Amino acid sequence: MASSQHVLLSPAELAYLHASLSLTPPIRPDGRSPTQFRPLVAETGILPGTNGSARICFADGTEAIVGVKAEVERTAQRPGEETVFLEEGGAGGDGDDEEEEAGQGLDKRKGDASWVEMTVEIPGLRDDDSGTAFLAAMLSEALLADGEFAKRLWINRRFHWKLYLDIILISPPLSYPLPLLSLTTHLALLSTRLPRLKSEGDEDPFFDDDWAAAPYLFPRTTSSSSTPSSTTTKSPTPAATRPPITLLVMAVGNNIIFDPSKEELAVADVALAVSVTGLSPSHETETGGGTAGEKQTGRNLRLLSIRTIDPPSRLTAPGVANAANTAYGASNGTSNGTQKMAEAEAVEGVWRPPRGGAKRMVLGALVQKVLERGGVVDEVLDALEGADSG
Amino acid sequence: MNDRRRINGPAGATLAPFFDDAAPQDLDTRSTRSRPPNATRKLLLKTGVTPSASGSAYLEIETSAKPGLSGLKLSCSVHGPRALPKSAPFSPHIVLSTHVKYAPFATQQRRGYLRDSSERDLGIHLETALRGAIIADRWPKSGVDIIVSIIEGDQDRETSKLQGDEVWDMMNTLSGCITVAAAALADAGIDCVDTVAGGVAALVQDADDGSAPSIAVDPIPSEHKRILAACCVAYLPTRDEVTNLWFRGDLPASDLDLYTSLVGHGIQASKNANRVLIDCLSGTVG
Amino acid sequence: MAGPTISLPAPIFAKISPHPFLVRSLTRSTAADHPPCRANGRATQELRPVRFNATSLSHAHGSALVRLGDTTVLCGVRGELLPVERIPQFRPVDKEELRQQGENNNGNCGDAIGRGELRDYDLLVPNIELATGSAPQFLPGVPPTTLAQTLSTRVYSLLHSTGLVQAGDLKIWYSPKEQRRGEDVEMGGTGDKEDGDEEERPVAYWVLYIDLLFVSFDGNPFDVAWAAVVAALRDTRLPVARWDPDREVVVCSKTERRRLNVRGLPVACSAAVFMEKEQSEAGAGPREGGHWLLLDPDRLEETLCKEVITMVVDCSDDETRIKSLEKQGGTLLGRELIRGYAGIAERRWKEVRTAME
Repeated sequence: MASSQHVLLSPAELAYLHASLSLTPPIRPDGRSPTQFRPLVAETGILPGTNGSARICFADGTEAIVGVKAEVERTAQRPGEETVFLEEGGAGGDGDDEEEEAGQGLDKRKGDASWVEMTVEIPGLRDDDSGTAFLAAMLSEALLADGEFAKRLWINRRFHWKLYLDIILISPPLSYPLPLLSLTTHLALLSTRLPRLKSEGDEDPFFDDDWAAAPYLFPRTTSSSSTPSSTTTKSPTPAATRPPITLLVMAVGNNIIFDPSKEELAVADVALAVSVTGLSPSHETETGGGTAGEKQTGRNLRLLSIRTIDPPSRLTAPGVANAANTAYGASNGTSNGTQKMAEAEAVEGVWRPPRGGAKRMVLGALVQKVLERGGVVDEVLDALEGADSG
Repeated sequence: MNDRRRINGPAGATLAPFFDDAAPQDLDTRSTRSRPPNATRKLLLKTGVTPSASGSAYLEIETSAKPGLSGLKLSCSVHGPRALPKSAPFSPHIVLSTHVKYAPFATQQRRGYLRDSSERDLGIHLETALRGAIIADRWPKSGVDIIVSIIEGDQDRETSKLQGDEVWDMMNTLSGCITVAAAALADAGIDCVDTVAGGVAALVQDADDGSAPSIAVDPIPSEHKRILAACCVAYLPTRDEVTNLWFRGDLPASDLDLYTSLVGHGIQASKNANRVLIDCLSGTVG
Repeated sequence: MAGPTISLPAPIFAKISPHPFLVRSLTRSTAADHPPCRANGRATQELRPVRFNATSLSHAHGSALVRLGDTTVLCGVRGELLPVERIPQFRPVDKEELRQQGENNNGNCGDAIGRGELRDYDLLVPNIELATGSAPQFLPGVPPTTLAQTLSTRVYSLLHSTGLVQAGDLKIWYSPKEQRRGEDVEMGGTGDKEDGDEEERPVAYWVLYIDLLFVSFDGNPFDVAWAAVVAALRDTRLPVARWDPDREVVVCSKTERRRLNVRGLPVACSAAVFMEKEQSEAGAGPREGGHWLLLDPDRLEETLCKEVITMVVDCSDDETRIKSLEKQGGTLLGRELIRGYAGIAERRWKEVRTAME
């Protein structure tokens, strides 16, 4: 998979890098602060043929393009629902769902995860590669986690938008591409507009062909909160939700480092991909738990998903301590014994790939750092919003 | 595109049977959870089901009392460590390859023979969970294959598919995969720092009246009204370390305690599974 | 014996030179009163005991787990509906024709038409998956091996040739009159139900997906796979289905299930011919050295044998009927041997029947 591609660093270099990243404050090879992202160039609306698109280029030369295309699709009627059995949309598998929940709730808009189709393309990897599947699963999981996103695609009881998200890395994967792909997807979704619905009720939908009138899929905070699907019902979702972003964080020693480069990831003790979504600061909405109304700076963040990324550091070659090195006079005969010894104790300055998992506290600290109010996520979201409107 | 190497059946797509005469009162009687919220279901674990493999294990989660509710059934075989093919590049570590595949009859919808993206995704999760446990540098230039077949998914046949249910099923499946693979690895005699086992915990809301959600260990999605969030952990008990953490849901960031206790409960579930695992393995040795 | 002797443990001997290993164990008896036996401890004509487990797969309509020594197969049968309008070349059987043939031939000809339907509309879909890590040579991630493909095809053709399942059982009829009379449940009727009702027509067929999963592989895959198919089909209960004219769908009853009518009990019995000389030497001149007929070969033996015979017999109506006979490779099995082999297959049939019940 992409995270574990070979790192061309010697054990000595790895040990040095690990040591400098464990210092307080850590010294990163490119001089960034631990929470600083790589500088990036972003633009939106680059593909006129799409409903929304974006391009982001990181300073290290990796570049991604995301195109969002929407098509009107007939909603597969499940037999047994009030309407007639129309067709099964080719998949031919919907038939075994038996009943809709008897009481149709207040919210008659329904969403289905199958309305979003996401493909990820990484040069040099087959499209059925497990790593690519993992990336795509992670990105779509974040998008669909709250179940609200798919509802935005509802048109009426018979039709819905089918959203195709094509995520293409156009440079070779120089670093683990997850943050780049996620940010680009976020931008593309922010810029996505769907034509304005002109028809009413459950009739075959037709749309306004004036592109300027097309509302945004994620309405701007300044504009009115009319989503294309909420012409009749009042939207129950807070209109100010933003598409999710997925950040890569890693821990080295006691330090937490954001947006690691490939070399930094190669010495990570643990790496996490954390997906969050933020509500705009102007909209303080109820968030369930303990935030009862207290106004704070920054956004209300919501945690959507966490996945452990297998750090490539586990696959690096270990260094050999002088004491165990035959070239430095270690006895040759009992190589078995010396190897056991080398496994047992760590020698300062000799690289050893991490073994075992991560302590619970470390994981907790990583997540906490990401979710910090007014922290990195806020910075990134602000920057991206600026890029979109600018 | 037709798979010419298999027998594909009729050209027109077939439909899964559609059931009709369910009594209306059936609809709302979702079976409720009979276990206390911090109790896991009973696990059955057995090693050595595939004699020709280096190591193998079979795991079954007890079906609940209600008929038609199926428990998870997994079989895992481990082949290796064995030499890598000559064409493979040098590796200072054992090369792990994990495969997770649903049997065609494992779930409500018939599965195909080609791995789909959710199966690949599970494979990566499993690989991450095991990689932390295996002492990989003891076998340079070798590889090991870990194959998990899901004979029966953790899915309720009777209730209709609710949105997102499959995802929560996947978490239960993953935790089973981790436990069964750890047993098979131990059966194959591959050195690990510790036995890793999977555990799932979920934040569930059982009532509609807006009451506070509670945390349930080893949840069956059909037993709960709504699952707000869930996490699956792979945990090494003696080292007190987590090798894989998969969280999914929707939690306010301001309430980090909720997240922490969710993970804590997941670890609790994993400890329970680990106890079964240790019993099973010491039974084989002794 | 002069010179140094190397003693190897049996598993290593078997691995580095399997052929001499097998010859040695077949020629040298371990004890005076014991005849020589195979490397796996069985006599040449000894079969491994077969065990059937009724499994309870809840997403399949019928299932079975069959063990033959270390070979374990799990079979799940699942019915899915194929509406007639989805069949590209659907040709309804003319009822007149059917009845005529039925009169002429006491139902035997209707049978032939049924088989035609099974084949034409592809209602039986057996597939065998070996790549579950069931043996070191079957790893996933590759297309099905030749063996898996061959096995699937053999099971497929045997399913059709033995007539285990009848098309009538898989057909779902719609007869408006009966339903109007208030009988809500119209079962998939067989041919004799229709008495001049013009509007009665088939609306859908059940397609049986028969999926076989090898949990563990240790030789003789076909016998086990076939036994699992038969056992799973006998276990199959399809829901009772009827046509709902208002919604134009086939609906199934949740509570009522009907057992699939499985005709006969064909049992496969395989054996391999093992020759004392390895194939390369023996190929040139006249056959030298002895040979053994090894019943129910295991994985090691299968790799060393070229000549294989499989006989499928059915003795359920008190008379041994040979349903299929396949022989591949080699020239050693002559007329007498094959004739005698029927006796062995008969013995096998009895064992399997007792195990199944």
